[in-house]
Amino acid sequence: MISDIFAVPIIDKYLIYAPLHSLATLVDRRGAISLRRAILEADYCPPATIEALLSTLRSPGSAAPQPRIGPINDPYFLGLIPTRLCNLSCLYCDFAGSRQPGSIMKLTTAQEAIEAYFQLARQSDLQEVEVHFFGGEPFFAENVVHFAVAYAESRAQELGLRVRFEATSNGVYNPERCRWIADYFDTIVLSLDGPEDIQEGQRPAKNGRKTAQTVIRNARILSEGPVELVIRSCVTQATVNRLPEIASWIASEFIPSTVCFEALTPSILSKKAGLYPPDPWDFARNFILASDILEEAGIETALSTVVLHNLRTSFCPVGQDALIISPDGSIDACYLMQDDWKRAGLDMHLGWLKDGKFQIDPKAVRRVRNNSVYDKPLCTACLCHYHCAGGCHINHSVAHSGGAYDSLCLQTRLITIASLLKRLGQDSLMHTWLDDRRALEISAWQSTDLLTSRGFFE
Amino acid sequence: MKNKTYICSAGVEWVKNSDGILVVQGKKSQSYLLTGLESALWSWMNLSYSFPRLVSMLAELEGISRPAAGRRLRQILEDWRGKGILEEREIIHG
Repeated sequence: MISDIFAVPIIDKYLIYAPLHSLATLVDRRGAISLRRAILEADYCPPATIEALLSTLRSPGSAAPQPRIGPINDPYFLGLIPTRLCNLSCLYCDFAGSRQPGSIMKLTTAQEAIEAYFQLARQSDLQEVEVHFFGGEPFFAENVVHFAVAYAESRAQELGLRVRFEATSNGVYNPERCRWIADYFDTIVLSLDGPEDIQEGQRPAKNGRKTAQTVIRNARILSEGPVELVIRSCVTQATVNRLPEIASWIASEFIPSTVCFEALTPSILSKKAGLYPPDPWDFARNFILASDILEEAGIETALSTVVLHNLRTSFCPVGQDALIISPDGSIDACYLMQDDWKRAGLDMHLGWLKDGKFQIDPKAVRRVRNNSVYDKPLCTACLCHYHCAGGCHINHSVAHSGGAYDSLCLQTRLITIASLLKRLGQDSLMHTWLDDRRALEISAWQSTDLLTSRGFFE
Repeated sequence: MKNKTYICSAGVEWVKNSDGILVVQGKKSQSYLLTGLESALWSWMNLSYSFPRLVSMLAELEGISRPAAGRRLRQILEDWRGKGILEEREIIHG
């Protein structure tokens, strides 16, 4: 039986998508009905065009991705949280600086974590290793980062490993520090919400000082260096209609590989500050317009829930055996804080870094890996199943039945569909569809995308 | 009170590459590839870490005592002075 064939109405056509077969195509309604019948009815003879499609769909294709099993021997990366402190006071961020104890990772903790990770990599015959830095703002405890990078480089050289460094940063440091980052890091994810008025309005410093000019200057330094620059822009109700303008500004000012536009995740602080998530329809439409602008400059546009180049069972490093070390040596699967997991009824704790070794509880590993898209009823019949994989395990509730989409689902579905249409070279159809709110609603609100679902065409 | 600090000699340029840090002494037409410990120290020094902080980070990096790290650091700095890539300066505090 052929499975995982999704079909979404696009005005008078159907987008057929079979991710396990890397197949996307457009057919008319009759073609979609024929395809469905050919899959479900053994004695049905479809037209030749559909027969050609079927032969692709009958080929083995990729296996559906599965959660990892067995002991952790190939961690996705080692994450280090040098501190949860931050020098900014972003109006929408209640996850770190404002409610975290101010501990800073000891150099020995960073050293032991790297050593334990590299030894694990050696035992597993890995050639490449990755160290990612998270915060707060990781460079707020810069000596930990400077030390960890030096230690990891030196040990990697001795052990014959290639090490990559990545950090997520607010970009507030002096030019000398920034040039060091540009020289030593492989990727920097820089939080830059837009031109000065937006950046200043949403991301002020703790002491009230303006920071936009500093971040913009540093984005230029990073653009000039060998580091890959990824700009991450938080989009609110107030800025969503400025996405094309933000895209033009970024394309003219900087040289990022990728611009990641993410809708604001509401928090107590963001509500207090009068910041709200964007309307999903506006977000999707403006995201595509912005991506057209960035594409012309050779810049990729990304949304974390729309990753089409691979198939995944989990949206994030959770379940992929990332080992994220907190200043106190706790090893967790998620870089968000314990309070956040607990609120969502989840436990992402894996173990402790103790006596220079990872002490990881196998039961905890199994528990964390079970957070997969296969456990999310809302996602079962959605065409984004293997790409969005249900979004953030902590912040995105998916305990609904199919079709009960929220804003994140709607924007993800629309942008996924638009991206597939673009891949098919159907830009003109995509733009006509984007301009037709009714057509968008029909596509986005379809409760099941599985072509073989009961009553699909009724 | 007088403290010592170290700065790159005039005409010295350096670049980070995948093997380490390549330091070029233009006046002497000499180049040196700093790797491992030396590469780390060069980068930290250029981030303006103080001598005591360099000693403490070196001690952690090498797993040695601070006095031993201090001796090792002085040795390396002397070596760099000899190569003409580093100069010693005195900081005079009022």
